[in-house]
Amino acid sequence: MTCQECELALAGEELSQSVDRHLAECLQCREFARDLQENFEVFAEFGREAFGIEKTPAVSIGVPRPEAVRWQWAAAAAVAAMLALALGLRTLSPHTPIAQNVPAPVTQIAAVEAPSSQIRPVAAPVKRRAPRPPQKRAEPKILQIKMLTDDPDVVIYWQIEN
Amino acid sequence: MRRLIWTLLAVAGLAFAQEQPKLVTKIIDVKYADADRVARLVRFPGINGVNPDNSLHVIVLSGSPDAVAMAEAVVKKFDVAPANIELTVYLVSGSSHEGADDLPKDLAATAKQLHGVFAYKSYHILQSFIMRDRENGHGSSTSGTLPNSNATYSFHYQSMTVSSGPPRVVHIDNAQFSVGTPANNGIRTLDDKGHPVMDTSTINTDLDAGEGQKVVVGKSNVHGSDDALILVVTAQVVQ
Repeated sequence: MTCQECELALAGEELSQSVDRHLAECLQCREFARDLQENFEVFAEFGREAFGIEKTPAVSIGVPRPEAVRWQWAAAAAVAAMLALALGLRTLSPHTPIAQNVPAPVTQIAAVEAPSSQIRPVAAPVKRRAPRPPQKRAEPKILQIKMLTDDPDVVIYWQIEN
Repeated sequence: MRRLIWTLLAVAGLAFAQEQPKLVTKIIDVKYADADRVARLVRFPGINGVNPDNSLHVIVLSGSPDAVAMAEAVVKKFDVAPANIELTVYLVSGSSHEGADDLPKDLAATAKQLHGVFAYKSYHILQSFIMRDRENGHGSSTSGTLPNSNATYSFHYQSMTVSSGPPRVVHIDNAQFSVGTPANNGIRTLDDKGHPVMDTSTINTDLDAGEGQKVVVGKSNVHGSDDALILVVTAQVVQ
Protein backbone atom coordinates (compact mmCIF):
# COMPACT_ATOMS: atom_id res chain seq x y z
CA MET A 1 0.00 0.00 0.00
CA THR A 2 1.36 3.38 -0.93
CA CYS A 3 1.05 6.46 1.25
CA GLN A 4 -1.40 8.03 -1.17
CA GLU A 5 -3.66 4.98 -0.97
CA CYS A 6 -3.41 5.08 2.79
CA GLU A 7 -4.38 8.77 2.95
CA LEU A 8 -7.35 8.13 0.71
CA ALA A 9 -8.37 5.22 2.87
CA LEU A 10 -8.06 7.28 6.06
CA ALA A 11 -10.02 10.16 4.56
CA GLY A 12 -12.73 7.78 3.50
CA GLU A 13 -12.63 5.91 6.81
CA GLU A 14 -11.93 2.71 4.99
CA LEU A 15 -9.93 1.12 7.71
CA SER A 16 -8.49 -2.27 7.04
CA GLN A 17 -5.57 -4.49 8.05
CA SER A 18 -3.45 -3.21 5.17
CA VAL A 19 -3.98 0.38 6.35
CA ASP A 20 -3.03 -0.61 9.89
CA ARG A 21 0.08 -2.36 8.63
CA HIS A 22 1.03 0.71 6.57
CA LEU A 23 0.44 3.06 9.53
CA ALA A 24 2.70 0.85 11.66
CA GLU A 25 5.46 1.18 9.11
CA CYS A 26 4.96 4.81 7.84
CA LEU A 27 5.57 7.76 10.18
CA GLN A 28 4.21 10.35 7.73
CA CYS A 29 0.93 8.54 7.40
CA ARG A 30 0.67 8.18 11.21
CA GLU A 31 1.05 11.97 11.51
CA PHE A 32 -1.50 12.46 8.76
CA ALA A 33 -3.89 10.20 10.60
CA ARG A 34 -3.32 12.10 13.87
CA ASP A 35 -3.97 15.43 12.11
CA LEU A 36 -7.04 14.02 10.53
CA GLN A 37 -8.37 12.89 13.87
CA GLU A 38 -7.76 16.29 15.40
CA ASN A 39 -9.68 17.86 12.55
CA PHE A 40 -12.51 15.49 13.19
CA GLU A 41 -12.56 16.50 16.85
CA VAL A 42 -12.65 20.17 15.95
CA PHE A 43 -15.49 19.59 13.53
CA ALA A 44 -17.33 17.55 16.09
CA GLU A 45 -16.96 20.29 18.71
CA PHE A 46 -18.12 22.88 16.24
CA GLY A 47 -21.16 20.79 15.36
CA ARG A 48 -22.18 20.40 18.98
CA GLU A 49 -21.91 24.14 19.61
CA ALA A 50 -23.76 25.00 16.42
CA PHE A 51 -26.74 22.74 17.19
CA GLY A 52 -26.74 23.27 20.93
CA ILE A 53 -26.05 19.66 21.72
CA GLU A 54 -24.97 19.12 25.26
CA LYS A 55 -21.79 17.34 25.68
CA THR A 56 -22.71 14.09 27.23
CA PRO A 57 -20.42 11.32 28.36
CA ALA A 58 -21.63 9.15 25.53
CA VAL A 59 -20.79 11.84 23.02
CA SER A 60 -17.52 12.81 24.53
CA ILE A 61 -16.19 9.31 24.52
CA GLY A 62 -16.15 8.85 20.79
CA VAL A 63 -14.98 11.27 18.22
CA PRO A 64 -17.57 11.73 15.51
CA ARG A 65 -16.61 10.56 12.14
CA PRO A 66 -16.48 13.04 9.29
CA GLU A 67 -19.48 11.32 7.63
CA ALA A 68 -21.51 11.86 10.76
CA VAL A 69 -20.63 15.54 10.77
CA ARG A 70 -21.70 15.82 7.17
CA TRP A 71 -24.94 14.00 7.98
CA GLN A 72 -25.72 16.42 10.77
CA TRP A 73 -25.31 19.36 8.45
CA ALA A 74 -27.35 17.65 5.78
CA ALA A 75 -30.10 16.80 8.25
CA ALA A 76 -30.21 20.36 9.53
CA ALA A 77 -30.40 21.71 6.01
CA ALA A 78 -33.13 19.21 5.08
CA VAL A 79 -35.22 20.10 8.11
CA ALA A 80 -34.87 23.78 7.36
CA ALA A 81 -35.78 23.24 3.73
CA MET A 82 -38.86 21.20 4.69
CA LEU A 83 -39.99 23.83 7.15
CA ALA A 84 -39.56 26.54 4.54
CA LEU A 85 -41.41 24.48 1.94
CA ALA A 86 -44.26 23.67 4.29
CA LEU A 87 -44.61 27.30 5.32
CA GLY A 88 -44.52 28.43 1.72
CA LEU A 89 -47.15 25.89 0.62
CA ARG A 90 -49.37 26.80 3.51
CA THR A 91 -49.12 30.47 2.71
CA LEU A 92 -49.71 30.08 -0.99
CA SER A 93 -52.43 27.44 -0.79
CA PRO A 94 -55.79 28.98 -1.90
CA HIS A 95 -57.91 26.38 -0.10
CA THR A 96 -56.40 26.66 3.34
CA PRO A 97 -55.95 30.26 4.17
CA ILE A 98 -54.04 30.88 7.31
CA ALA A 99 -56.85 33.01 8.59
CA GLN A 100 -59.00 29.92 8.94
CA ASN A 101 -56.73 28.48 11.55
CA VAL A 102 -56.51 31.66 13.52
CA PRO A 103 -59.07 31.56 16.28
CA ALA A 104 -61.64 34.26 16.01
CA PRO A 105 -61.27 37.02 18.53
CA VAL A 106 -63.45 36.40 21.51
CA THR A 107 -65.77 39.25 22.26
CA GLN A 108 -67.26 38.33 25.57
CA ILE A 109 -68.71 41.66 26.45
CA ALA A 110 -70.89 40.23 29.11
CA ALA A 111 -67.97 38.63 30.84
CA VAL A 112 -66.07 41.89 31.26
CA GLU A 113 -66.59 43.36 34.66
CA ALA A 114 -66.41 46.96 35.58
CA PRO A 115 -62.91 48.01 36.62
CA SER A 116 -62.37 47.75 40.29
CA SER A 117 -59.51 48.43 42.59
CA GLN A 118 -59.01 44.79 43.30
CA ILE A 119 -58.33 42.24 40.63
CA ARG A 120 -60.46 39.23 41.20
CA PRO A 121 -59.49 35.82 39.99
CA VAL A 122 -61.62 34.73 37.08
CA ALA A 123 -63.27 31.43 37.64
CA ALA A 124 -63.02 28.90 34.89
CA PRO A 125 -66.18 28.68 32.82
CA VAL A 126 -68.43 25.90 33.93
CA LYS A 127 -69.63 23.64 31.19
CA ARG A 128 -73.31 23.14 31.54
CA ARG A 129 -75.04 20.23 29.96
CA ALA A 130 -78.09 20.91 27.90
CA PRO A 131 -81.16 19.87 29.82
CA ARG A 132 -82.43 16.50 28.79
CA PRO A 133 -85.80 16.45 27.08
CA PRO A 134 -88.46 15.03 29.31
CA GLN A 135 -88.74 11.34 28.76
CA LYS A 136 -92.07 10.07 27.62
CA ARG A 137 -93.73 7.64 29.87
CA ALA A 138 -93.68 4.23 28.33
CA GLU A 139 -97.16 3.37 27.22
CA PRO A 140 -98.33 0.07 28.61
CA LYS A 141 -98.44 -2.78 26.19
CA ILE A 142 -101.91 -4.08 25.62
CA LEU A 143 -102.56 -7.74 25.11
CA GLN A 144 -105.87 -8.49 23.42
CA ILE A 145 -107.36 -11.94 23.86
CA LYS A 146 -110.16 -13.34 21.76
CA MET A 147 -112.57 -15.53 23.70
CA LEU A 148 -114.72 -18.18 22.12
CA THR A 149 -118.35 -18.37 23.16
CA ASP A 150 -121.25 -20.68 22.53
CA ASP A 151 -123.01 -18.03 20.50
CA PRO A 152 -121.37 -17.42 17.09
CA ASP A 153 -122.93 -13.96 17.01
CA VAL A 154 -121.11 -12.87 20.17
CA VAL A 155 -117.37 -12.32 19.89
CA ILE A 156 -115.49 -11.20 22.99
CA TYR A 157 -112.10 -9.49 23.00
CA TRP A 158 -110.50 -8.72 26.35
CA GLN A 159 -107.65 -6.29 26.76
CA ILE A 160 -104.98 -6.73 29.40
CA GLU A 161 -102.47 -4.01 30.12
CA ASN A 162 -98.93 -5.14 30.88
CA MET B 1 -100.19 1.97 -68.58
CA ARG B 2 -101.01 5.18 -66.79
CA ARG B 3 -104.55 3.93 -66.12
CA LEU B 4 -103.14 0.76 -64.57
CA ILE B 5 -100.93 2.74 -62.19
CA TRP B 6 -103.83 4.89 -61.04
CA THR B 7 -105.96 1.81 -60.51
CA LEU B 8 -103.29 0.15 -58.38
CA LEU B 9 -102.87 3.30 -56.29
CA ALA B 10 -106.60 3.53 -55.70
CA VAL B 11 -106.82 -0.11 -54.64
CA ALA B 12 -103.88 0.32 -52.25
CA GLY B 13 -105.50 3.42 -50.76
CA LEU B 14 -108.75 1.59 -50.19
CA ALA B 15 -106.97 -1.33 -48.54
CA PHE B 16 -105.06 1.02 -46.24
CA ALA B 17 -108.25 2.84 -45.34
CA GLN B 18 -109.95 -0.41 -44.43
CA GLU B 19 -107.07 -1.49 -42.16
CA GLN B 20 -107.24 1.68 -40.07
CA PRO B 21 -109.77 1.04 -37.26
CA LYS B 22 -112.41 3.58 -36.62
CA LEU B 23 -111.71 5.70 -33.55
CA VAL B 24 -114.43 6.80 -31.17
CA THR B 25 -114.43 9.20 -28.22
CA LYS B 26 -116.78 8.80 -25.29
CA ILE B 27 -117.44 10.70 -22.08
CA ILE B 28 -118.19 8.37 -19.17
CA ASP B 29 -119.67 9.60 -15.90
CA VAL B 30 -117.96 8.60 -12.68
CA LYS B 31 -120.41 9.33 -9.87
CA TYR B 32 -118.88 7.72 -6.81
CA ALA B 33 -115.41 6.43 -7.52
CA ASP B 34 -112.18 8.37 -7.83
CA ALA B 35 -111.89 9.16 -11.55
CA ASP B 36 -108.08 9.18 -11.45
CA ARG B 37 -107.93 5.76 -9.84
CA VAL B 38 -110.45 4.23 -12.20
CA ALA B 39 -108.67 5.77 -15.20
CA ARG B 40 -105.53 3.86 -14.34
CA LEU B 41 -107.44 0.62 -14.79
CA VAL B 42 -108.56 1.22 -18.36
CA ARG B 43 -105.26 1.92 -20.10
CA PHE B 44 -105.27 -1.27 -22.14
CA PRO B 45 -104.56 -1.88 -25.86
CA GLY B 46 -107.02 -0.19 -28.18
CA ILE B 47 -107.44 2.81 -25.88
CA ASN B 48 -105.63 5.81 -27.34
CA GLY B 49 -106.53 8.42 -24.77
CA VAL B 50 -107.74 8.47 -21.15
CA ASN B 51 -108.48 11.85 -19.59
CA PRO B 52 -109.99 11.72 -16.09
CA ASP B 53 -111.37 14.76 -14.31
CA ASN B 54 -112.26 14.40 -10.67
CA SER B 55 -114.02 17.72 -10.33
CA LEU B 56 -116.27 17.06 -13.32
CA HIS B 57 -116.61 13.38 -12.33
CA VAL B 58 -115.96 12.15 -15.87
CA ILE B 59 -113.46 10.17 -17.86
CA VAL B 60 -113.00 10.94 -21.56
CA LEU B 61 -111.97 7.82 -23.46
CA SER B 62 -110.87 7.52 -27.07
CA GLY B 63 -109.95 4.42 -29.00
CA SER B 64 -111.43 1.60 -30.97
CA PRO B 65 -115.14 0.99 -30.37
CA ASP B 66 -114.54 -2.40 -28.79
CA ALA B 67 -111.85 -1.12 -26.46
CA VAL B 68 -113.90 1.90 -25.43
CA ALA B 69 -116.90 -0.34 -24.71
CA MET B 70 -114.73 -2.60 -22.58
CA ALA B 71 -113.29 0.38 -20.71
CA GLU B 72 -116.78 1.71 -20.07
CA ALA B 73 -117.80 -1.62 -18.57
CA VAL B 74 -114.78 -1.52 -16.28
CA VAL B 75 -115.63 1.99 -15.13
CA LYS B 76 -119.24 1.02 -14.39
CA LYS B 77 -118.08 -2.00 -12.40
CA PHE B 78 -116.01 0.10 -10.03
CA ASP B 79 -118.20 3.17 -9.94
CA VAL B 80 -120.64 1.91 -7.35
CA ALA B 81 -122.19 3.77 -4.47
CA PRO B 82 -120.32 3.19 -1.19
CA ALA B 83 -122.15 1.25 1.44
CA ASN B 84 -123.77 3.05 4.31
CA ILE B 85 -122.88 1.52 7.63
CA GLU B 86 -124.77 1.88 10.84
CA LEU B 87 -122.85 1.35 14.05
CA THR B 88 -124.62 0.72 17.32
CA VAL B 89 -122.38 1.11 20.32
CA TYR B 90 -123.27 0.11 23.88
CA LEU B 91 -121.14 1.08 26.83
CA VAL B 92 -121.55 -1.48 29.60
CA SER B 93 -120.09 -1.63 33.09
CA GLY B 94 -119.27 -4.95 34.70
CA SER B 95 -119.59 -4.81 38.48
CA SER B 96 -118.32 -7.13 41.19
CA HIS B 97 -121.29 -6.21 43.39
CA GLU B 98 -124.34 -8.36 43.58
CA GLY B 99 -127.32 -7.08 41.64
CA ALA B 100 -129.55 -7.61 38.65
CA ASP B 101 -128.42 -6.85 35.15
CA ASP B 102 -129.61 -3.61 33.66
CA LEU B 103 -129.25 -4.14 29.93
CA PRO B 104 -131.47 -3.69 26.85
CA LYS B 105 -133.08 -6.76 25.32
CA ASP B 106 -130.71 -6.63 22.38
CA LEU B 107 -127.86 -7.49 24.71
CA ALA B 108 -129.51 -10.47 26.40
CA ALA B 109 -127.44 -13.01 24.48
CA THR B 110 -124.32 -10.96 25.08
CA ALA B 111 -124.99 -10.80 28.82
CA LYS B 112 -125.41 -14.55 28.93
CA GLN B 113 -122.00 -15.06 27.36
CA LEU B 114 -120.41 -12.47 29.62
CA HIS B 115 -121.77 -14.21 32.73
CA GLY B 116 -120.40 -17.48 31.40
CA VAL B 117 -116.91 -16.13 30.85
CA PHE B 118 -116.33 -13.58 33.61
CA ALA B 119 -116.95 -13.50 37.34
CA TYR B 120 -118.64 -10.12 37.36
CA LYS B 121 -121.92 -10.27 39.27
CA SER B 122 -123.89 -7.76 37.24
CA TYR B 123 -123.75 -5.69 34.08
CA HIS B 124 -125.25 -2.25 33.61
CA ILE B 125 -125.75 -0.18 30.55
CA LEU B 126 -124.07 3.19 30.88
CA GLN B 127 -124.67 4.69 27.45
CA SER B 128 -125.59 3.73 23.91
CA PHE B 129 -125.46 5.61 20.65
CA ILE B 130 -125.83 5.03 16.92
CA MET B 131 -123.45 6.34 14.27
CA ARG B 132 -124.00 6.20 10.54
CA ASP B 133 -121.23 6.68 8.01
CA ARG B 134 -120.24 5.83 4.46
CA GLU B 135 -117.72 3.21 3.58
CA ASN B 136 -114.20 4.59 3.11
CA GLY B 137 -115.19 7.82 4.76
CA HIS B 138 -112.95 9.99 6.86
CA GLY B 139 -114.12 8.62 10.18
CA SER B 140 -116.49 10.04 12.72
CA SER B 141 -116.61 10.80 16.41
CA THR B 142 -119.03 11.43 19.20
CA SER B 143 -118.72 12.38 22.84
CA GLY B 144 -120.87 13.24 25.82
CA THR B 145 -121.48 12.83 29.51
CA LEU B 146 -122.58 9.59 31.06
CA PRO B 147 -126.04 9.84 32.65
CA ASN B 148 -126.26 10.34 36.41
CA SER B 149 -122.53 10.97 36.74
CA ASN B 150 -119.87 13.54 36.04
CA ALA B 151 -117.94 11.15 33.82
CA THR B 152 -117.41 11.93 30.15
CA TYR B 153 -116.89 9.62 27.21
CA SER B 154 -115.70 9.91 23.63
CA PHE B 155 -115.69 7.49 20.73
CA HIS B 156 -114.15 7.86 17.31
CA TYR B 157 -112.69 5.76 14.52
CA GLN B 158 -110.58 6.41 11.46
CA SER B 159 -112.50 4.69 8.69
CA MET B 160 -114.79 1.78 7.89
CA THR B 161 -114.66 -0.66 5.03
CA VAL B 162 -116.94 -3.51 4.04
CA SER B 163 -115.67 -6.80 2.75
CA SER B 164 -117.59 -8.54 0.01
CA GLY B 165 -119.77 -11.23 1.44
CA PRO B 166 -121.79 -13.04 2.31
CA PRO B 167 -121.48 -12.60 5.18
CA ARG B 168 -120.21 -9.08 4.83
CA VAL B 169 -117.78 -7.95 7.50
CA VAL B 170 -117.37 -4.34 8.54
CA HIS B 171 -113.80 -3.42 9.41
CA ILE B 172 -113.55 -0.48 11.78
CA ASP B 173 -110.08 0.99 11.66
CA ASN B 174 -108.53 2.43 14.81
CA ALA B 175 -111.59 2.61 17.03
CA GLN B 176 -110.88 4.54 20.23
CA PHE B 177 -113.15 4.77 23.19
CA SER B 178 -112.33 6.60 26.38
CA VAL B 179 -114.11 7.33 29.63
CA GLY B 180 -112.90 10.05 31.93
CA THR B 181 -113.95 10.51 35.52
CA PRO B 182 -112.76 13.33 37.76
CA ALA B 183 -109.73 12.36 39.75
CA ASN B 184 -109.46 12.82 43.50
CA ASN B 185 -112.41 10.54 44.32
CA GLY B 186 -114.71 12.19 41.87
CA ILE B 187 -114.22 15.69 43.28
CA ARG B 188 -113.77 18.10 40.45
CA THR B 189 -110.29 19.59 40.61
CA LEU B 190 -108.36 21.68 38.12
CA ASP B 191 -104.72 21.53 37.14
CA ASP B 192 -102.36 24.50 36.75
CA LYS B 193 -103.84 25.38 33.38
CA GLY B 194 -107.40 25.23 34.57
CA HIS B 195 -108.18 21.90 32.98
CA PRO B 196 -110.07 19.36 35.07
CA VAL B 197 -107.93 16.52 36.33
CA MET B 198 -109.40 13.27 35.02
CA ASP B 199 -108.74 9.59 35.40
CA THR B 200 -109.11 8.22 31.91
CA SER B 201 -109.61 4.66 30.78
CA THR B 202 -109.35 3.89 27.08
CA ILE B 203 -109.95 1.05 24.66
CA ASN B 204 -108.08 1.27 21.36
CA THR B 205 -108.44 -1.43 18.77
CA ASP B 206 -109.37 -2.34 15.22
CA LEU B 207 -112.64 -4.21 14.97
CA ASP B 208 -114.06 -6.72 12.51
CA ALA B 209 -117.78 -7.03 12.96
CA GLY B 210 -119.76 -9.41 10.82
CA GLU B 211 -123.27 -8.35 9.97
CA GLY B 212 -125.51 -9.22 12.91
CA GLN B 213 -122.59 -9.99 15.20
CA LYS B 214 -122.07 -8.35 18.55
CA VAL B 215 -118.42 -7.61 19.11
CA VAL B 216 -117.50 -7.18 22.76
CA VAL B 217 -114.27 -5.40 23.73
CA GLY B 218 -113.51 -4.94 27.41
CA LYS B 219 -110.88 -4.41 30.00
CA SER B 220 -110.72 -4.93 33.77
CA ASN B 221 -109.62 -2.78 36.69
CA VAL B 222 -110.97 0.48 35.37
CA HIS B 223 -109.62 3.39 37.43
CA GLY B 224 -108.09 0.95 39.87
CA SER B 225 -111.44 -0.57 40.80
CA ASP B 226 -112.70 -4.09 40.32
CA ASP B 227 -115.16 -2.93 37.68
CA ALA B 228 -114.85 -3.59 33.99
CA LEU B 229 -115.36 -1.31 31.03
CA ILE B 230 -117.12 -3.12 28.19
CA LEU B 231 -117.91 -1.91 24.71
CA VAL B 232 -120.43 -3.80 22.58
CA VAL B 233 -120.45 -2.85 18.90
CA THR B 234 -122.77 -4.02 16.16
CA ALA B 235 -122.42 -3.01 12.52
CA GLN B 236 -125.13 -3.10 9.87
CA VAL B 237 -124.75 -2.32 6.19
CA VAL B 238 -127.70 -0.28 5.00
CA GLN B 239 -128.44 0.83 1.45
